[in-house]
Amino acid sequence: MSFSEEYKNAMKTVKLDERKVEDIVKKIETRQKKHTIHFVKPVTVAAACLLCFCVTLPVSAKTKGIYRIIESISPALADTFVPLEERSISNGIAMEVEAVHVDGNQADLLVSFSDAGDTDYIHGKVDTYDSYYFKSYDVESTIGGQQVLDYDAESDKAYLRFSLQADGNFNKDKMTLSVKELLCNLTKEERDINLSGIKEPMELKQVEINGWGSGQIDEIDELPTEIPYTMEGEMEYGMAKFMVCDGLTAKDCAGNDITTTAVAMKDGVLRVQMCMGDVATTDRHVELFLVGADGTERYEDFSVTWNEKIGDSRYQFYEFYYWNNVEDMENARMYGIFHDGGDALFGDWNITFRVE
Amino acid sequence: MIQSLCTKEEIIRRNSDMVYKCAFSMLKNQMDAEDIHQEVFLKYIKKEITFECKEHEKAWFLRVTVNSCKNHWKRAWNRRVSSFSTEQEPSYEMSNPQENELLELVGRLPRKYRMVIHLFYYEELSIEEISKITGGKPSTVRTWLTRARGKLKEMAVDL
Repeated sequence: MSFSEEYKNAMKTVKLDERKVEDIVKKIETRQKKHTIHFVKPVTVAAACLLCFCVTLPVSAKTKGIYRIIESISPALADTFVPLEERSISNGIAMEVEAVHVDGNQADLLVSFSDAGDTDYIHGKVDTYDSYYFKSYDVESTIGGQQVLDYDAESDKAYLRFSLQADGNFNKDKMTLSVKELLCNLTKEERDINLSGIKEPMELKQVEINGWGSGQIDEIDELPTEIPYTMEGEMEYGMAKFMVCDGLTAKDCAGNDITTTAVAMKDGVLRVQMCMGDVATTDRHVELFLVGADGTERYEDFSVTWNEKIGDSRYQFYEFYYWNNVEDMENARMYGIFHDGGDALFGDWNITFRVE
Repeated sequence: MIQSLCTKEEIIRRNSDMVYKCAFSMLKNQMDAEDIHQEVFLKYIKKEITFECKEHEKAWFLRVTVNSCKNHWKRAWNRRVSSFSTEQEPSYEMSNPQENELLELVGRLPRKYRMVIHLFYYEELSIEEISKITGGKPSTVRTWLTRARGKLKEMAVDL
């Protein structure tokens, strides 16, 4: 018997109690009679009683305690009681929804950050450093992305744009945006990378990477054989092992700046390795450009990243690979745009709004 | 109204088993699969959705099931509970011990691999269809499937 047949036979014996299906079917009739459907497990009866008492209370940020209690008992029930809050203050910074634009299943959100009270943190662009999280109450799934816009000196506000895409059309759906970290005052500068000290041969060492950039290829399986690696399990659970330049280590690098730790040519692949410094609480990254003899600029073909820990600090390393058109390195040059995330501030910003 | 009642009921009964089995294959747990089953159909009832064809209907239910399972894994209170116990062992009995062993082996795979194995071998979906349901690129889905098969072979499953 084939695996497919065996698996199907095995799954046929996994059956749902028919009574559960009948319960669901009964809810259609309930809905047809315009009663609101409540799925109430016996254990949530106490929560329902608590709610009857609580609905008379004014809805404010202070009800969050009640919300947490209900959520621990019945998350689905708690979702219907989250108040709308379009401004949230934490750690002396206010996050605010400025505008919402909806187009079918896509929405754009303009959010501002500004100093609240007598603090003075915001005087440049900001970044949430991937600490944002969207929770939707009505659509099945939402994906979102963040774009750093600009800082406006007149209003003293830094602006971000969040773009959302949902499974179905937005229809005044309620949503919560949570942010836990803010990088204030982002900067960037251009620097040259010295290619005159290319080492060949270069000793390599094995590291366990925690990410890779796609560069010009879509899948790690498309890597040339000159870049050997081993995979253990799925990327998000297991680690891939790569051979990278045995250059400078974390202890040789600045904690608050980007250091070039190795430049090598091995097996026809140009490798440029850099340490981003301590990124435990901030972001530093580089956009690297190889400029050929004919003046053509290009990004790397591939890159990997890994960390080295020193105490509580996390030094992040990148190794960038170039294997196309690297024959004439004598007349090539390299430069990078070095981005620094600046100061990191931690908080608990939460705004709940309607996408309309 | 009676016509609309029958149609919704038909749709629920027609897809109930598929949704439950998909949730079970991802969560490996009867109680959690029942919760997801209920969550999926409550969403269907609330949404007033009209399907263009059977394929659209099947894809919608599977996508919502997969997303609900992913949200289940992410829920904070669920993570607090899971910190006290590991993922529950499959709670079912098989008349054929071999079938039990097979499901246990599949159950040992990482979540994404279990998901594609189920959608490919049980629901007989194509890579493209699995890609639309899970949100992964077709090449990514292909990679997951290849790695899942590799892992099952390591566990001496005859593929």
